[in-house]
Amino acid sequence: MIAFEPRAGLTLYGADGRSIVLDREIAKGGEGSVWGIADKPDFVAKFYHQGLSPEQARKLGAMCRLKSEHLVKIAAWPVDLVRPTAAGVPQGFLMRRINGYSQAHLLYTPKSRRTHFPEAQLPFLLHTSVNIARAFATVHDAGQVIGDVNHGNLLVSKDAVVALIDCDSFEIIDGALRFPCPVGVPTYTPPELQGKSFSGVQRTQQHDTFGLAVLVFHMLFLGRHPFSGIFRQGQGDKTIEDAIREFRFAYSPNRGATEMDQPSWVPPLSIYPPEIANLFLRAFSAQGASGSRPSSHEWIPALEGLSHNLRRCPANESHFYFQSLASCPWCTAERATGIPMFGFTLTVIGMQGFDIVALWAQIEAVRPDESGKPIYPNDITSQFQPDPRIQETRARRRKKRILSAGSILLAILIVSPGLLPPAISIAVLIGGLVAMTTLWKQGHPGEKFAREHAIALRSYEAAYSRWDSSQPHPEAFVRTMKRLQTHRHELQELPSVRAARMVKLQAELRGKQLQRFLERFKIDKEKIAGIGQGRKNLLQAYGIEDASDVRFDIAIKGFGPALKAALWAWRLSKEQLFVFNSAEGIDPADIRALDLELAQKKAALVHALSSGPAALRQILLPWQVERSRALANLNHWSRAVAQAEVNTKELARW
Amino acid sequence: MTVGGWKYAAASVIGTSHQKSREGVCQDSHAVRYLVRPAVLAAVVSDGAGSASHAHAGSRLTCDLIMSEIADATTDQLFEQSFAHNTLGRIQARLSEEADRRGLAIRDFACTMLVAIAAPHTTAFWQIGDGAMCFGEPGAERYHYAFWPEKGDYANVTYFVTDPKAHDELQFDTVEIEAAEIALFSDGIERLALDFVAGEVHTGFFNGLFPHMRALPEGFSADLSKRIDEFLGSDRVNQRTDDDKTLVLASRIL
Repeated sequence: MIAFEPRAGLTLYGADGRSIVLDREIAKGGEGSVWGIADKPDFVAKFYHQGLSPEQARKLGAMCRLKSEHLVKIAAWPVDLVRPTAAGVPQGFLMRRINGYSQAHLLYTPKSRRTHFPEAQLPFLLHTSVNIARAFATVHDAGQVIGDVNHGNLLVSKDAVVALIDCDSFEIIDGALRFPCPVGVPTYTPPELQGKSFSGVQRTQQHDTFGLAVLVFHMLFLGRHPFSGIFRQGQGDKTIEDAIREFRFAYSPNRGATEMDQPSWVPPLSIYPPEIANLFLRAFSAQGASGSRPSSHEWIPALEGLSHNLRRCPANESHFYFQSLASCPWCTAERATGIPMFGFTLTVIGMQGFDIVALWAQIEAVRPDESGKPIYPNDITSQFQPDPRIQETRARRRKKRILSAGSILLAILIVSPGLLPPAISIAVLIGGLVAMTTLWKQGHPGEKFAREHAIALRSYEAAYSRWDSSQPHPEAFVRTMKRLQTHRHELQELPSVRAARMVKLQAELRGKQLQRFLERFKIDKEKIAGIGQGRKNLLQAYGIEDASDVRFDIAIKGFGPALKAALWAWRLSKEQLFVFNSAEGIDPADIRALDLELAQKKAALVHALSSGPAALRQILLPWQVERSRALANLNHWSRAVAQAEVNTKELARW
Repeated sequence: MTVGGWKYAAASVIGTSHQKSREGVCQDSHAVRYLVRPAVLAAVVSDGAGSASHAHAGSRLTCDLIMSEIADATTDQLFEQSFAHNTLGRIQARLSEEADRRGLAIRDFACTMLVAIAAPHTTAFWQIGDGAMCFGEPGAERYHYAFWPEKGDYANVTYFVTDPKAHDELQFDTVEIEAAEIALFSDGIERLALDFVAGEVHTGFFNGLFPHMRALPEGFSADLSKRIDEFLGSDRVNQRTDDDKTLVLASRIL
């Protein structure tokens, strides 16, 4: 059999015999390719590189029969098989085109969220989570199973609408027939399937709801995996797969049983209402694995309930949190990580209600917090007491030194009477010397304290250097502040810009009236001293037809200074006759155009200024975090140096 | 006056990050001179610690003291390791005295030390802390380094002459070749002068400097020193480091 090869312009046939024409390839992956269809912008055709096996064709055929309006709405559900001839073998299938969506992980990870979903805050995440649960519920209500739940198969639009893709891998039940889902991603796989081959297993909706709980967890917990934490027992971390199999939900309050700690910077489960916390606990527990995992329907009211019980953080308008909490969990997380958790919405404020003074006060209120002064060792050495163990070290050393002196004295005492033979005397003296030096060396002071002193000095220098480099305000902050100042200035200048432009229009008005007035005096019909018909023809040839065309510096051959002066005098004499009609006024169309231009400019400035406080805060956050950490580190090592110096001094005493 | 055929130049320039915080005080110091008796070229660079409140005074005192110690030594003593340790001991005593006098800790004078002492066929190098020294033989195409800078766990961490264990950290070496071109520099320009990937001296860097010295008259060159000063303050250098930087060059190649 010759492999089917899709190409642009190829005509294919649907089940009802209607033809479609392939337009162009939209996407190509390892498995197959996706093609646009001429005149059907809402649909695409998918083909496999390997062609459609009879089993696949039956599965897709079943899916096409089972399609419903609801399924097509939440998934790239197959809607029709396509064949090269009206009666041919199916080669691919049609599905709804999912356009302008992003992969779910771009939304739930704080860093990519700010780029791909810059205005998404907690309400948006909850809305998306509800839509994910609804999509699962729709598939489940249709009696089907997703099987291969993972973040790559889930797309999210800018309006929080979700779409399940790669539906051809779903586990499909068509009456008595079952078409299995042969694949899965381990981190979304429930404990009861962990480590098993997917090929022999019947996938169920209960399995799907484990993956759903993981996805919702990602959404609500900054992209973290519920089973990724710090394992308190044994060496190293648990793999996520092992943690899932052993029910070690890292955020469970029952830490004794899970032996897991959650990452300290991620908010705890308790920042959400108990209903939501309980859903997670059930979904990830052993009980859940034995059949009582929350259904996709159960998630919907819990998440919607939270949407209606949010409070906006008074310190940061991009933070929303459960209103029963005493403080904002996102502020805490941002202080711990230095990473902004959410982007901010650009609020367009109505021109009338816009108060630049109040806004500027808000902008100026965003100042780098430079509270907290470093402690230097010199300021605090007096507060430190030498390490009590030094007394012991010194006592030991004193003893050794006394013994050392004693040993040489003893040797001298033995030999000094001169009773011993010289050879023995020398031997005794040498023995005494050896004993003296050995004992003296044994009494050498605490190496440990010297090492501590060296480490403290070294670390203090590094801490100082880090502190020093954390001092300058972030460049982006200075730049943004400057830009906002320019904007404010421009905004305040708008009325005078308008006045100046009106003056200009007014001045132009006089010019326009004068122009029209002078145009009435045709050179042809005027009597000008010294300028006869011949010269008039010459002027005509140079485009000088009326008084408005006359300049004092015309350069025409045959027009000497006297003639030029005469011509200019003529024009001036006409100009003197002109009377400006101020009643005529500026053309209203000109004023409208000016006001529109200024209104647009103002809107842009207001827009930029309104986002100023939030923008400045975002820029400052990482700097602020680094500064306070560098300060704490410096102070720590200052104290260590002070202690070490006091120790060294004490050690130097007898 | 004889200078043994040596020409030399040097400059220290404050780093961009310190221009404001330290009111324009550069914590690096240097000294370079030909001593008639003993007949050696002596060059010293000292980089004051960022954390030390009197690092500038520390590095200045260190350079001056080393120069006077060398001037008082005999040629035989100069190339002994014990001379380096004795000198270090004197530096510590002097800085300690200074600290006591001002009611400070010796740590407030913390600074590094790079020393090169060149006689016609022997050159001694001493070093505590970061920075590096390079040298070349006449006619050779490549430059050698005295000690490769050892970077600890933190890039910013270094040793100082004021450390209680400074004697353990003193690196000492003598080379029995004719070091006709010698360069000493603080860590501010390590990354320009040394190739940390290949672990060798950036020959190109010194090839851009030493040939300028050939046409110079013997002795200290104020003109070249001014050009080194400009180079150290240039964007090319400031793009790579915001730290203080010092470069000392000496050559006796015609």
